[in-house]
Amino acid sequence: VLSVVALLTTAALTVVAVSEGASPERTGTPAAQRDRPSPADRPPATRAEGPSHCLIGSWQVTSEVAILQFYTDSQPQPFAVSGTRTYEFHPDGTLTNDNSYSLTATHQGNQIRVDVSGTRTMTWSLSGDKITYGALTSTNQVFRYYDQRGLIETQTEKTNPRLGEVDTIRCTGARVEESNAEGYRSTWARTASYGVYG
Amino acid sequence: MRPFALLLCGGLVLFGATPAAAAPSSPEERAAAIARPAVVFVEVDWQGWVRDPRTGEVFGGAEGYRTTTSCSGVVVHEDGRVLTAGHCVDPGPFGGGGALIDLAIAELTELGRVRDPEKAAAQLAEHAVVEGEKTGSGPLRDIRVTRVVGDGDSSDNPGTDVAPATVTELMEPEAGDVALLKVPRTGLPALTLADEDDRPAGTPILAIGFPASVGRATDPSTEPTNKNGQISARRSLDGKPYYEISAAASQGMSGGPLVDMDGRVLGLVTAAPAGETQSFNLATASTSALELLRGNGITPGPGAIDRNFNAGLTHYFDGDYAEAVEFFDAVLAATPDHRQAQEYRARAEEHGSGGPGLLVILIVVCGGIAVLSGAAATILLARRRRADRDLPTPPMGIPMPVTGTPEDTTP
Repeated sequence: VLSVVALLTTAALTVVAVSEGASPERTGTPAAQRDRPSPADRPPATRAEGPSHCLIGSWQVTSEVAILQFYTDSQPQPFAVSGTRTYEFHPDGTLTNDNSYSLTATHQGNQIRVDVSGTRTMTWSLSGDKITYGALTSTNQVFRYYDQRGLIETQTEKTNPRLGEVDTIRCTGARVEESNAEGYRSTWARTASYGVYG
Repeated sequence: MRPFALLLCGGLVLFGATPAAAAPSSPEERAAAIARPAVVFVEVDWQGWVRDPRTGEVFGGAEGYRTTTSCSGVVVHEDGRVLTAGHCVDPGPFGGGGALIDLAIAELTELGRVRDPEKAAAQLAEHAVVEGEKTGSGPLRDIRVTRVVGDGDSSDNPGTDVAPATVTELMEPEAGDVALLKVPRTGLPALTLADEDDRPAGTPILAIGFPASVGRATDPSTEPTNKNGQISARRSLDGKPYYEISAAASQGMSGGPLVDMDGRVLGLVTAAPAGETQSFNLATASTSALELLRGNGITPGPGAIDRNFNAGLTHYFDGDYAEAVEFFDAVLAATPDHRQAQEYRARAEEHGSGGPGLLVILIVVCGGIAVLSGAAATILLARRRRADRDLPTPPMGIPMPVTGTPEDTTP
């Protein structure tokens, strides 16, 4: 009985061994290294740089000193500014400027004042720290001149395709400082009405 | 002696089926051993500009924004077909475009032009266009697929094979989130995709991939990570089947395979629900990937190399080390840099592949028992016949039955 059991077990194991003992499948030869290309470096793409992202947006003037020649026979002098001035710089190189402010100073002991109101549209460009207001394309701005006598003159601004005003400007995100060689100085704060996300 | 020998032979047969020496320590070990050779690291270099069509403003300056995103993937055909998550290579806001938008948000935040970064990202994702160097062109995308190869012990053998990849087909993140890539390679380890999407909750799974956080916390490595867990539920999103899984799957594991304990791909890790910090992730079911592959005339599945490797693993875990070495050698002959074949071949050799296999030992032992017991039976039979010849012959020549010693039969 033992020998029969052992013989059957041997036979069964042999069958298992034969069935499990299949040889590995044939496979291809390894690919040569030259057939395994590596990623190639691509020259970086570039695109024409647009206008300053920092200036684009809406700004409100928080402090300003303007230089103005009040009388035709006097020298230009600094004027304090009060009221509301806003700028909106667009990425297409245009800006709108809404004004409702007063310039005040003293001339020979008398207070002089200019009331300014209206909306203007200009073109702008920035190169380094120089901003150029290239053209005054539309305006309805009105200047009213006052001295100790009262209103002495009213001027309505006209468009000017060759405005060409160049100032020095420094934008630090939430704040802009603008100035020029004549003594003009202005500080702006960013507002959320245009150009701000979220 | 007889019962002992029977027990010995039977016991050997029983134990022979489950040798303890190399059996996997867990079902996950076996699944990982099968699956890991086919898991790849997918990196994408993006360059692009973000344009807001409402204003015409283009963010990114002259050089554009550049970023690199990383994901995981799985080879599904030995001729270089790789699956990953769609959002890994998608240029839209849920993919690389989103990463570029994030860079724009960061720049705009520094400029004071962002009040709420999340809302800003949502606004740009809805309204902005991510472009290449020309208006209307897509962002630039360079895809690299990295495989773990060899042991990385020298400069000649860096331990990785980096291949450029192209996108053959893309199911967008909102419509299945699967991408089919092609790399210029052949003879790659590949996995089988399960042709079903109804595995029940509780099915044990492994999510395998390259989590970005590990890469940041440790030395650079291309060793994939296994995260075990279960299928928590079957879900659908816009008609596409998904699995909700309990396996942890962090950023970077997107596109990595979700495998069962047989190493078959059940799905691809796709996303974690927004704001979810616990082990709760989604994987797009493999049927979506199969649909995409079949649509491109590709029949996925393991090749001869994989079948040899899997047979080698089976022999290894069954304790048939010599057979295992034979199969691993066949794998290495076709792909000398197959790291897992190298590892398991070495382990098989440590277990003593030079000697006969356990099955051969069993056959020899049982055969020996059969021969010895047969010989013993023959000797006993011969002795009995000799004794029978010495008995008095009764009439008709029929031997008397032996009931005792010959002397007992004498009247």
